[in-house]
Amino acid sequence: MSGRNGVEAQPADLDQQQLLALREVPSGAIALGGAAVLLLLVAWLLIYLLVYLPRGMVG
Amino acid sequence: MAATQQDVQRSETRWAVWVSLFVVIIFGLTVFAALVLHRNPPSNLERIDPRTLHLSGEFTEPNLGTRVEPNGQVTTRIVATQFAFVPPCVVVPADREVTLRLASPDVIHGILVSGTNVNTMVVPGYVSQVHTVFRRMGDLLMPCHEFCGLGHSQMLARVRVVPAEQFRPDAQGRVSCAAS
Repeated sequence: MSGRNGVEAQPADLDQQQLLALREVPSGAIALGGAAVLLLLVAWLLIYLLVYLPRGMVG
Repeated sequence: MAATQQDVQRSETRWAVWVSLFVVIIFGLTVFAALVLHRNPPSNLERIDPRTLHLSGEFTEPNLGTRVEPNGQVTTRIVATQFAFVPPCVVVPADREVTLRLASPDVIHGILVSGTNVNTMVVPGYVSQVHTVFRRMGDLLMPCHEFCGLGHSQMLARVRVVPAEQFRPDAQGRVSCAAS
């Protein structure tokens, strides 16, 4: 099996590379998920504060 | 950066805490709006016979429109029918609690008053009731928002919000657009 630069890699080296790559994955997923949730929350809050509250009482 | 199983667990815990916090905030704001600001979905359960509502009771023609009850409560009664609201224009006072009561003799209709939180369905067999206080003056559009047939898009009424000094009920307590 050859590595990224074409150099034959030892299984131990390959595991190390995979581990390094995988270390980055959760922070990327958290950033993406966090941004999506935050945008949704901000949109909800903006509608609540700028549209729903000024429109007055109802019941 | 998740290097170990513990790191993964820590980030998942942090994620769960933040999401729970958001849910609590949104739930808290909703409860605050309901209990402190008195903003609730209309939840009136009152039956009426759709076949006879125009013949007797409160939704006969002379009772429709806005009326100030003897106790001072302002009530506006509207019949939503294919494809018009009766009456097509109602007058309400600004900055004063108004009760809208609607009924349908035919199919399901719905109303919203533009620029306000008034929004309810009008289901035949039931009286829809909404309490609100109008703050914006002028003619507000009140379209049917539940598809009710081919003329649905032409079905709209006007809610004329007037200042207190221009809201002048007649001897029977009625106020109409023609008089205002």
